[in-house]
Amino acid sequence: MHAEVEQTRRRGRLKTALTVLVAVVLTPLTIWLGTKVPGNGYYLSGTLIVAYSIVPFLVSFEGRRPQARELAVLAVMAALAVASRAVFIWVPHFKPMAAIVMVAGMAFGPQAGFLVGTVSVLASNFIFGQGPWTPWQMLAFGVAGLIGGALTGTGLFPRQGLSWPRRVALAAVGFLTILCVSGPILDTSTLFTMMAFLTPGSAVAIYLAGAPINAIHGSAVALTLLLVANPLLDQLARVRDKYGVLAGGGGKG
Amino acid sequence: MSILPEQGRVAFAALHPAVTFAFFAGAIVLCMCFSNPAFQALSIVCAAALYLTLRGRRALPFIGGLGVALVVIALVNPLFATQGDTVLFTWWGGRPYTLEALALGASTGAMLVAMMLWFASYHLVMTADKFTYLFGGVIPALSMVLTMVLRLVPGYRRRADALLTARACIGKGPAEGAGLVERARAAAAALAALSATALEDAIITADSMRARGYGLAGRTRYALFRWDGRDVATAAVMAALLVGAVAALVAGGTAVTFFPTISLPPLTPAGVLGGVCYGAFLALPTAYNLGERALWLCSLSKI
Amino acid sequence: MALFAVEDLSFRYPGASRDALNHVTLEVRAGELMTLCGQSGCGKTTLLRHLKPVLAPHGVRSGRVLLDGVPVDEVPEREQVARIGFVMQNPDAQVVTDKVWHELAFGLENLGCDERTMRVRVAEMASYFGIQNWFRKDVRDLSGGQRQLLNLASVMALQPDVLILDEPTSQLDPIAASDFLATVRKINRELGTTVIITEHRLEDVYASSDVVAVMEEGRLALAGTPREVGERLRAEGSALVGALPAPLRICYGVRDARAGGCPGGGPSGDAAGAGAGDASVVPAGGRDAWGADDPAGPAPLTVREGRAWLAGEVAAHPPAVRALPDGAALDEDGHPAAAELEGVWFRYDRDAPDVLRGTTLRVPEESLFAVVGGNGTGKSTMLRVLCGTLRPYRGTVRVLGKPLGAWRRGELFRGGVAMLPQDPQNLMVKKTVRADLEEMLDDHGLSAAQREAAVAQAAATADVGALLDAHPLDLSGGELQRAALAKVLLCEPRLLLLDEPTKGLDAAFKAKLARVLRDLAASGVTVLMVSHDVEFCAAHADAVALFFDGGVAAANTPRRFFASNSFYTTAANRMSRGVFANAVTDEDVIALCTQK
Repeated sequence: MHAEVEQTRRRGRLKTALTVLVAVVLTPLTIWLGTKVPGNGYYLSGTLIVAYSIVPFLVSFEGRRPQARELAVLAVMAALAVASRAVFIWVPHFKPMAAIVMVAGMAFGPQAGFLVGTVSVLASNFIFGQGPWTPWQMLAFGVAGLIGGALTGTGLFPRQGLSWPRRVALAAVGFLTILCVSGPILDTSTLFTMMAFLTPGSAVAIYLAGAPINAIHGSAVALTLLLVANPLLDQLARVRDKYGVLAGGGGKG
Repeated sequence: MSILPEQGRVAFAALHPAVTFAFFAGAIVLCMCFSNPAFQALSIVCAAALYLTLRGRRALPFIGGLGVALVVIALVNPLFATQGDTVLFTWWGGRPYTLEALALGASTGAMLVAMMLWFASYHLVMTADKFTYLFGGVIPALSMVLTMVLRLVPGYRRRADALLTARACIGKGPAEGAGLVERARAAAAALAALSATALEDAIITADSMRARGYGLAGRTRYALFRWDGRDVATAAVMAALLVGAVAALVAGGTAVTFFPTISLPPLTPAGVLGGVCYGAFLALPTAYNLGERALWLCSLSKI
Repeated sequence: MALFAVEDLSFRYPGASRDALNHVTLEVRAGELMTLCGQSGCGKTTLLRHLKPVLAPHGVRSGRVLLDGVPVDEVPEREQVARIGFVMQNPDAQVVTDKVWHELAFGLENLGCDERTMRVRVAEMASYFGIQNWFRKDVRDLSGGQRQLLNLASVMALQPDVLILDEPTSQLDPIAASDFLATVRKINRELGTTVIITEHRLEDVYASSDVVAVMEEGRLALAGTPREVGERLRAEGSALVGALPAPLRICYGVRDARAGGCPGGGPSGDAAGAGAGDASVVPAGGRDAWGADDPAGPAPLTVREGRAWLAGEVAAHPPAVRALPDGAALDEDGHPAAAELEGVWFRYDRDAPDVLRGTTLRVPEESLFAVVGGNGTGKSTMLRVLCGTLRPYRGTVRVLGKPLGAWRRGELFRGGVAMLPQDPQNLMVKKTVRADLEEMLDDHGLSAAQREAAVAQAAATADVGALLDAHPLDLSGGELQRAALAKVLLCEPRLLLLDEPTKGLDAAFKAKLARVLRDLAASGVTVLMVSHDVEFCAAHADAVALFFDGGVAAANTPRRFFASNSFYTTAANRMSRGVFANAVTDEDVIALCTQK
């Protein structure tokens, strides 16, 4: 039984390596193909490349044969991320989702963080509507989770018991993540769908128009991290200690 | 998560998920490949028609909103793109506002509108259970997680509401006229309480999964959807039409150049055939829905 | 042969100071319905979880559990999954998927059933449980009772030999709970599935059990037929007697009173003691000779048996008085009102139906006022209206003599009104009970010493002094209820609103809660509670109102109220109807039977 699991895991790792390789080979090909498409080739090849970057995470996760507890905890984190909007119903234009995703990454590692990000976007869009932006959003929030995982993975932040200065630092990181990484990824999808003829001018216009929105989004994430990150990390630590869920930090990204 | 009251009543939604998914994938990808205005018009008309058969009168505000978006995108584009020979007027110190850029903007807007309409129908037809059914074989663990998330979210929202109410009833809600930060603090306390119980419940859910054998080797899937004759026939017709449309694309009858002047591709037999195939392909679901409805009305009149 | 044999099982949680299970030996035969009872924390759940190894907790274990003579850990996991069905307490958290059909098929998918078998089994289960009409529904649209039924059905789809249920009804209202238990009995009778169940409400399940086993502090204290066990509990003067079905309690009460008022003093107690004596707690043969150990005949388990027994009892010892006085009618205008609703109309949404339809209610000061009624009649909505969190669109609401609108929000919840919600978990947001209590004193401008004193006092009133440093999530249902009550008391309310305060509590906790509430009422607090628990209201309330269709259908003192109802009343009243007039509680019937 154990050997069997080990074997499937080894096969899983092999598959992951292969998908990464395929993605690396396919990316330039896709860009070339995009220039050949008469219509909106930017969006088409851009979306495909986004998909290539997500797939290795999924393959590696599936290859690990995750157990029931792991799935249940990841599902809860993703569902909390989606539902967190409803909790902040009193605060207008407040999107705390990325904060929960980052906390999930901090507690369970970059891979789990990325998955929580992508799954919460997918689920949220099943409720509120899918669109051309879905894959880009998945990447944007996945990357936020990845960054969360990197924060604890590199030892910059502890996985529980944040001191006040650390909390403030974390909020700042959250703000910058949205402003400089996740937000621009989303803006790129807007750029590709809205502008058929890319010029530096149109790109600058879209990114500049996106900046204030990203700043508001980032502030919400920062405030949420400041208020919720510490209690949530403590709760997750409790689950990790009491039930041994994802105690290894979720493996490699 | 669909807004549709009863999916079964819309014939296209009752087809096998693989068929419906393939249709939307085809329609959306092709709509991004064709910049020929005739092809774009086909796509918009068919997409709007499908959305109308799905939502009826309630579809109109959305379609109207997209119309406005199209106009705005078309008008804004020349502000950034200054190429083109036909200058309509100049602005901001002699910057040209060209007809070609306007046309390009309209083309981009049309593409966006068509895509949004297809996605709107996709959202209504491809519900989460179909999605997880379709991809459950490829990504079993993740589709399980997605299923669980979709179950949890409505419960959390209800619970969040109960938490906020319960706390308001002991005077711990945000006071009237409270500032943003105080409101956020009240919400954060509720969120922390929600997550604490949610995580405890996760362990029960995991126990319940294991107690019913999750994780054993050789998992199968309950087939809520089954292939029948209709699905096979539809898939075959769709594939044939799709090949025709793609052939037109490859033959090159669809590309439009906007600069320096607009030049539409010459009308070739291949292009026309491709257009017919494309239109037939895109009209398929609408025809399906209307046909079924006619059949139903017809059978009603016989009673 | 026994289906399950627990042999000398002991278990200790990591870091615990005493064993959670202490040399438990128990046999369960195929086809039996066994009820496992005991105070909360006695090890019932721990024992049940050992019967299904994937759910067994981690810790130090000795002894073994055999399934059909094979140690249960050595049974292949696939077989364990199929043969041992387990339904847990929380109806919501057990559901895994978002659709009813998927939930029913979930176990079969995991076992790798082929498509044909799966279809047939799912169709069968849906039809047997009468859930075919929800088949394509979202799980979120089901009520708690329906969800628990779905959990049962999806376990039964695996066709288990034994069904284990761990307090399955503790989070359901009494009507849903009765339906659920009726289904469990049906499964046992019609399919021959062995059932092992723990329950805190024994009214429904006790009489139909083949075997009742009682646990006490990790030991198996008793096992036998319901009557044998009842006799033994009575003989020992156990607190669990309070949880037994009313007919049995009344019968024991009468016999004890006749035997000189000391429980266990009578000859019957000794006889039962000898019967189940030498801790071979496994019931021996001849369990059908129930009650033969009592010279006065078998004790009644159900209301039907109870009526027969009471008729015989009254014939043998004709009482002089057959009616209790009505008592004073509800004094409508005597006391000033603590809460007053007049023609209140409310709906949640402009297009939604009215939930409160001209509700008029007057709650006199310093009383313990109970509102009973079915689900969805608007009782909880009324409480929220009194808190000012919902605004009626017509009618007046007065709280503590002032119109609700005249209260400033901050004042209302300081020394005014406070509400304990149906799920007390919703109030607890901190890591310890103490932190949660202290949260209530934020911005009161108290010194640390004053805060501590206030917390200590509230904790003492609600009897949670020993739990202050516990994590709220680690508390049992009853402890959590009282901790939340302590938190609410820190609002120093003069009008305390309680929504279903006895839900999920066992008899001992209910008694404790009743004491706390009586003390509060005596100290000048008005308590308004909404409840399904007819017995609790009859025994402890000063006045009872029946809520129906968004309004108050009747209000009176408990005695007048319940004596005039024929369905919505206590078991004691149903049992004594026609024999005694106005007997509402167990004590009433016992007193009338044994009057001198």
